[in-house]
Amino acid sequence: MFLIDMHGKAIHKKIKLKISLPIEKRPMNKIRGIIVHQTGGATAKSAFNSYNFGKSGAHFLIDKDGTIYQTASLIKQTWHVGKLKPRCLAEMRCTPTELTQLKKFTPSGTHRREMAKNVPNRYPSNQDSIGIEIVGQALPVNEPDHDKRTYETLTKEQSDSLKWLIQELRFSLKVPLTEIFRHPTVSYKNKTEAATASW
Amino acid sequence: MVKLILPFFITVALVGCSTTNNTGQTQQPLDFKTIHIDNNGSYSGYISSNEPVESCRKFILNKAEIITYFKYSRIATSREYAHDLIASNCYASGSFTMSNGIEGTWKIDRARRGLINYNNNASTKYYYCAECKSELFYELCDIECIHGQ
Repeated sequence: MFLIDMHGKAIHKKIKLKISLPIEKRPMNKIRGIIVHQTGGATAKSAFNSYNFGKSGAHFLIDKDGTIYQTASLIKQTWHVGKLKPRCLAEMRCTPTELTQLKKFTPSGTHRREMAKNVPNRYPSNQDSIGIEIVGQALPVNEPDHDKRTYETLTKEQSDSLKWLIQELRFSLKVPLTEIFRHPTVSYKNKTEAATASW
Repeated sequence: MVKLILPFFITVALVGCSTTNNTGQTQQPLDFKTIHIDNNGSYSGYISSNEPVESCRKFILNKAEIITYFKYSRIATSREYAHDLIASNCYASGSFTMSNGIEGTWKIDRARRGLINYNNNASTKYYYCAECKSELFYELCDIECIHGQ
């Protein structure tokens, strides 16, 4: 079991601290879910380089060899989710009013309505979720249209590390299994991202 | 397939502001000689979106709108295009010839992402148009907005 200190750092010999300050945004008061991503790059270095721009990033990064890096404090939000999809549609429990609103498809409008709800009535967002990025490319790399690429399968080491990390986070942060999602489930992404991740 | 030879200078309804990439550098305007539209109002199915297939049929771009898109887009990184920006199944795509003879393919989606792939060196440039005013695109929203800030 790992400990989380007052600065939001996970203390365990399996976790290497490599905090990237530019990706840390507002304080995160409550953690309600975990979102699993793949980076799209071939190496951890390429992800770390992108973090320097201070835009998107996640709280953890799992390298090809299974090394787990903590890249942001667990008491800080990072931008890793994006616009939320309507959870009620996937779970077939939208109200008639919601169904009417969803007929006019607008990602921003849907996101605004979703953010007026609380988890589990919406998916976890940047405001209340931990992001785990797994180093992995979308292939083939000579396909210019990324949408047509397929994300590579996780290595065994990555799969083992992901399972361990999620188990630890679930226990430490009391996140239910029902609030852990692959990125394409909660936002508008390449369907194959993290498709081979399991926990 | 629609084919049109564009005049050297084409007048299109443009929005203001100069075009810059995300490092603040001015982007060289693309000097299209011809643009072919091969797919318009099309649905890809690659994106985990609940967009109805029928809704994509309204995403019809004409050549002036394609030129405007690339004139006012900023350069996006490959990671932004593939990972950070939201994506849409609704798209238009085709091929082009530049005035200098270089040929390639282009694609624009309804979530304001675009790409240009050059045949001569197989290089690809990615774009995002926050400046595009057409109501065919989803709402104006760049990275900060996408992430709810």
